[in-house]
Amino acid sequence: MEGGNRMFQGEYKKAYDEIKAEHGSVNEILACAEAKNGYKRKRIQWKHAIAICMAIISLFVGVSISPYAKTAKMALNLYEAGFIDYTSYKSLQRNYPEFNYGIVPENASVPRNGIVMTVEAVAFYKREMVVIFSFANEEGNDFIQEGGDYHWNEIKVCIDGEEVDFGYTETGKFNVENGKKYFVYRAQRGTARYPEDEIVSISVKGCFTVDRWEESYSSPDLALEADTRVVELHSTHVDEYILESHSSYEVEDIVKLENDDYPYNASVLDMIPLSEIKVGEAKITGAAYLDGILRVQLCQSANTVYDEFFQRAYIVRNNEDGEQILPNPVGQVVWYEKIEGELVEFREEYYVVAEETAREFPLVLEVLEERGYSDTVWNVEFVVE
Amino acid sequence: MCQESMRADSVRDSIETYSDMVYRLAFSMMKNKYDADDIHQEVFVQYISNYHLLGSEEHKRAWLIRVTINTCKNWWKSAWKRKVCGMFDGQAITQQDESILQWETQYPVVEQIRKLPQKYKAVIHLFYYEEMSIKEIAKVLGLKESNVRARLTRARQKLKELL
Repeated sequence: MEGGNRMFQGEYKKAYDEIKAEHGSVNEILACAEAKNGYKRKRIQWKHAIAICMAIISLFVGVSISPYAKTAKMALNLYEAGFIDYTSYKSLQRNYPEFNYGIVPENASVPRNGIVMTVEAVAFYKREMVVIFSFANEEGNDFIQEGGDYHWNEIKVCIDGEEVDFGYTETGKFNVENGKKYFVYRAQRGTARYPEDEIVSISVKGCFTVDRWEESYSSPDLALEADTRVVELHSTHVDEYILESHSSYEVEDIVKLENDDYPYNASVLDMIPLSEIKVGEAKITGAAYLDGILRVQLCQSANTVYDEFFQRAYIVRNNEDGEQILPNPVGQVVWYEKIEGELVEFREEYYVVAEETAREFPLVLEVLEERGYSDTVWNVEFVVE
Repeated sequence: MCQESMRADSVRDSIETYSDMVYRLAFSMMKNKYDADDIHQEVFVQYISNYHLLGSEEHKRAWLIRVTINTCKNWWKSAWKRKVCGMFDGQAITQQDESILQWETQYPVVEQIRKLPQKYKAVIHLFYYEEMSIKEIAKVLGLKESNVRARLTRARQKLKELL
């Protein structure tokens, strides 16, 4: 497999070495950015200008006016609270020192489809605003056990109905203490005002894919005799009937093809009745050591609705040090059964294993599941005080 | 003025340095070079707005990779694209440039990789072309290392089935 990976990498690199951005694209990009006013940033230090103006005004009116009275309401340091990482904190500090602080709206959580979005903090400074929100399950913990893929196609922030334009996005750090993932979004607002007593509305429309690895110890007693039955391998799936051989074994001897025409018939283990199999559940349905070959049969989802649910099961066997010791299979057959009106995929794999070691260590089924949550909209509104 | 000019040069240098990297990553995730062109431009327009917030070269590279991937995802998910493109096995088919088809024919492995779901393509490209480690990929994409490892394993498994 290592040699195979290196060859594959070689071809991949060679192919993509031929892919290059076009000459002249740099000038186009600069022109486009200029057109969007994204290139020329005003670097005027507004705070100094305002401070000077306020100082002058205060001389005339005889009162002390602090230009930052409203920013004093920002009570939460975003970095210390763990919402932004150190790099973001330093860059914000360099350019907008007061921007590190955010207000924390109360009860700004909304559950949808078992996922709760919480607006953790919002920070305003002049024309910039930061929204920090998190996603968790209804128990308040990260619902992704092994990592997942979040994607959203729309984030909308309105202040008193006026939409704020998000020109820049950044993902904040993953907070491992409570398992929630924080996301930091920055926007440039059209107006430079602190939205006191105004309604801020934040809505996120998104889609989530949750990846989950599970190890289930389904190690049936390894049978030395087993009944078999004939299944039909349909022509549409004949590509999955792998006759490759990683050893000197003739796979036809193992699989016992009934004929050479489509569809192929194959003789497979018959150890668990179909009535005991539930749709959507992956399990080992048989394991036997016959004719010097370890045969392991499993079932998993047929993955007919890929966008919503994907399941893939793998057979592994680990020694006492946790190292995988099962060799590559010398062959496999894949077929489908209809259970409760739905297709379930069955797979029987064939391994060359010495009889004396065949019963050492249990067989383990590792199940990978991906669940896609369809586009959902979370909306939170609160008043800035 | 001099400072403006220096900033402009710095931005131009960065674009030239990372242009091919961004384009290749976008191209690996999109179906044709026209969409990759659009993504490439969009990413650097964003970069120009935000370059002053990025520190080291490592930070810039990581930021560009992340924004490229997010921009590609946004493109795929936009309603407009759903209406325009037909769907096949969960992936949209767009019109293929002849030269791209010829390029794919020369490299059968690449042709099959381009049929894989989106989430595998980014990890494969960053691992095999950019030669980033699992740890680096996890950090850039905001994923756990085990997740990245799982995607590579699954991608290789799917590739094995396709080839």
